[in-house]
Amino acid sequence: MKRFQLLFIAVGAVLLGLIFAQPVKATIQTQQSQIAINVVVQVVGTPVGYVPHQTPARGGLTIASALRRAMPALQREFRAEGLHFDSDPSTLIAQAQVQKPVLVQAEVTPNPKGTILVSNVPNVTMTAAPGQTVTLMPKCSLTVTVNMTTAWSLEEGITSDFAASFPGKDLANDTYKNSATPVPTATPYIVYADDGSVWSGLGSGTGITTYCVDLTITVPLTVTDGTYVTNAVYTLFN
Amino acid sequence: MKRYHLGILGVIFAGMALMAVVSPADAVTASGTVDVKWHALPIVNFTLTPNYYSPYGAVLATFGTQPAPTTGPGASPGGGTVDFGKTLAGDTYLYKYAAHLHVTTNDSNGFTVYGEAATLITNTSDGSMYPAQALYYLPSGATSDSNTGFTPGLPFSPTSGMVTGGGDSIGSPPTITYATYPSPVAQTSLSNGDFYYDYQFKVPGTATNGNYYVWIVYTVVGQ
Repeated sequence: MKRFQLLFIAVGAVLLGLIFAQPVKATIQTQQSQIAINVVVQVVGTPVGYVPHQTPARGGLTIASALRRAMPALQREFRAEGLHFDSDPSTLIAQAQVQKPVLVQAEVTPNPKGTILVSNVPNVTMTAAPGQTVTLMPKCSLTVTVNMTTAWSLEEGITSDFAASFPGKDLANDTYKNSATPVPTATPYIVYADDGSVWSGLGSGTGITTYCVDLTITVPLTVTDGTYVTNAVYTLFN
Repeated sequence: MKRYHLGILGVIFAGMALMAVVSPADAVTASGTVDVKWHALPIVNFTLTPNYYSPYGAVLATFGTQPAPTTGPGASPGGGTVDFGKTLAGDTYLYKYAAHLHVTTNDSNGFTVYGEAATLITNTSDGSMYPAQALYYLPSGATSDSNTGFTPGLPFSPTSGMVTGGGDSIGSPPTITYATYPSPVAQTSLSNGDFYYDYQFKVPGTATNGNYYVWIVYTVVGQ
């Protein structure tokens, strides 16, 4: 009986030791801020395509340039009609169209924690063909900054796959302090929806720090043309 | 004198004979074809319904259990504005059941939907402006969806078209005149379609205090 009690006490001591040996920060960390950066991947099978949001130069518009800029459906339209273009460029499109607007409103209040974790852009877009690997350029065009001068830790991950046939792990990141040298390899993001609803640790510090995030996407050969999107999430704790 | 009269008569007869020869006598009897061509523009009917299903409204981006949606005073069932209400700078909000687009057309090729921001996101209090790309859209459903503030969406782009009108009240909507259409937000070869969207607002961390607005303009074109 005494031996059993001694064994029980010894096991209890070991367990207590294990509990106290855990990193203290795990028990006292509090989430301070969380941001999401939209990552859009445009998958196109050919490198030639029309460029959205290009405004033709006023006065310099020709039928040829209009055809080059127009969508395929409009190209057919122009060929079929032999359109006569007025001098007013606003009358170029001879299509039936209907417009409806909606007003979006919000009342914004400044947030003391609104700038402790920020990215330089809310959205990045990459274009790649199936089977192609593309890195967001130029380097360090996406940054994440921690504006805290007390102890902090930062975690990262993406929310979900791009699609069933387009895993989120095909998006990798080479993340380094902007004062440091880029790492030669990129690491796949952890996918929150697939990997047990957890994020992965990115770094920690006690001062204002900016990370460069160089994204690399590898599009599977089976992915068809289209627009795919996920969110890169950064969570700040102290 | 007789010779003179005969001369005049000769000239008159000669003139009449010449006119008879050169006049287009067959013009009054000829027939021909005129090739008349025209292009009948397709008819497009389009209705846009904000706040199309209850409970519509804004939800703070969070993982796990979702809070109940809330709205600002501009929103009303099936109308009004997409009013996120009170928001905090630096936070992200999902606006559920923001806009329903219902389109019908007699165009046998279907139709294309474009959606763009007519203005920058503007603070009416101090005039500060923020990129329209702080506002996103993501597919929803007629009566339900599983979207959260962290569900990926696509940003509204600021238009490159010519904007007319558009103020900070619902009574002054803008129009966009396009020389070139942008990337579509939706496209179908069907003659009718319904599109349901949630919106996401990633409030810039540096946004100043005030009331903000932006107009989103949808344009539907027969293909």
